[in-house]
Amino acid sequence: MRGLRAVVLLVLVLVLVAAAVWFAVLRGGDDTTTPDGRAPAGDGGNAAEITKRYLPTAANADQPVAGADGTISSDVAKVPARADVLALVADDASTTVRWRLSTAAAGTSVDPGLLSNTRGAPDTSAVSLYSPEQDLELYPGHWTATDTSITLGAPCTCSKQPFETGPAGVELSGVYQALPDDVASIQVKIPGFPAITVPVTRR
Amino acid sequence: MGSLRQMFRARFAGRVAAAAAVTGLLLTEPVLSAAPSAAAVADIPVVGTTSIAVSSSATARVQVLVHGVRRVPGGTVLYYSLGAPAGSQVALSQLSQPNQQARFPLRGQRTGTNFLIDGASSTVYESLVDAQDNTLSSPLSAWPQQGGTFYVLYQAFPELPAGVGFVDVQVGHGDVATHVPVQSGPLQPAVSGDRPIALGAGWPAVDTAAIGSSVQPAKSIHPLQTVSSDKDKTVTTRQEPKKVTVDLASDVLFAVDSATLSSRAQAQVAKAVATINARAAAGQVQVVGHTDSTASDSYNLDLSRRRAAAVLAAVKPKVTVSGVTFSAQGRGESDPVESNSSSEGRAANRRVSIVFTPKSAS
Repeated sequence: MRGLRAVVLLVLVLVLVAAAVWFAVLRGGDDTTTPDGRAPAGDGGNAAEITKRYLPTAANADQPVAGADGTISSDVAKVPARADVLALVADDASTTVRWRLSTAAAGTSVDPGLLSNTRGAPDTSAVSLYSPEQDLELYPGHWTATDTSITLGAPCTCSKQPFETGPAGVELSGVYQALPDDVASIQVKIPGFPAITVPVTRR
Repeated sequence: MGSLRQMFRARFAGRVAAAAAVTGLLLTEPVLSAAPSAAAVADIPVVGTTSIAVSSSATARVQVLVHGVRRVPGGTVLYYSLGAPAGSQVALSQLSQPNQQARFPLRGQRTGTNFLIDGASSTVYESLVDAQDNTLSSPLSAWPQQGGTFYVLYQAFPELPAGVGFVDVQVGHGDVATHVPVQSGPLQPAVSGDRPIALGAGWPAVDTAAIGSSVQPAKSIHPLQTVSSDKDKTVTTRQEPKKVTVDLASDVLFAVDSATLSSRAQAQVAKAVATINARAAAGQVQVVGHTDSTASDSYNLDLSRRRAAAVLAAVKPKVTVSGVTFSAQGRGESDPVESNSSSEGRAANRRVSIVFTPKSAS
């Protein structure tokens, strides 16, 4: 009887070990990013696990799917700059683009309004998505905020423009209306840069 | 395969971790020294992520985790946390300045400058406020003080309509966590939110009475206007929750001073009508003519009326949705969308707008 108990206990432990190993392997598996290129959401854990998984480090900086060299206005002069699109994800409700603006020199200032459609507003509302096949260009959404002390002009479903950037770059994002279902790739148009063609990831 | 793995993780991760704890198995790396030592929350949900680059120090990045968008009586609560690398105290302080340049601006002594975006209904939700115009959100005293771990904050919003299943969360000055599920009930256990709460030590207590008695929650709900156009901007569509406006460039529709539709006009009109037909709803179509300020007021008013009538005549037979009523009017130069001081501005002002208001919204 003791032998049977020992066997049952051993089997139980082996099953738990197998499950634990499987789980640990999965955490480092090939699906460690979401469609928008970020670390996965929806799989919780304890504080230590989450801190280890998500705390920003140079190693987990997102990799671009496409990019282009261009220029930005900085202190009157134009300086070379880089725009990298990190992800473009569409679903039935909206389309989101994330991109990174970087320059070779640290602390490069970016002229206010450079990336905005709204006069004087330091936002990125001039960044648009264009589908040549559909001849359709999308801009971020706008609304009117109650508290105007933290905004200039109409608030935008897009990042505020950075006032500085550098080699590591500043990540920016924008939310646009939903894309037609048959759009498989799209041009991200950023002032100062050639259009960047990126694949559309459907959620 | 990926979805199966995720399903496994979501359903069994907690059970495996608990069983492993009992048998003394080590599933993960050793606990980080900066992590809370007496965690009250064993299974912390992460339902969205984004990151904020600190403007004045581009090499520093602060990670944002969204733990929940939860329905509570009278409102909606966003639970989120911020984490910076160890030694990033400067980044955390620079992130939150009460000015335009901050990536995460403060609102008075509160942190409530996030937004919820429901793209499906073109609606944006802003923070609820109390009678003193304080946002119902974590106080400044709860702001993260050191790098190396995450700190939890909250913000209250108006009630979301029952049908809203997902929202985008716009954090601070525009960085977005997308497709965040909307769930029910506050996160537990709740702890005092007056001081920084390290991730795992509980969730900030939410004053549901304050949420229920917030001042004019409707003021925190904003229609979102999205704009799209063709490359040459001859057809520009503005979508709002209660109406859609299609601006057709008059330079394509008409010759100078003419109210006779050109041969190119049909394609532009067809695009506008397609937008109306796609809504598949009864409603009202208003065709409104506009001009620039080049000629006299009376001339422009008459021209805009004749152009609106011409476009209406082209639109009406193409609308296939039943229950649609039509009207036309001219506003001359009285309603510009751009300055008339430049040729580009005048061209933008020379337009005919087709405004469709679905019956349910009118």
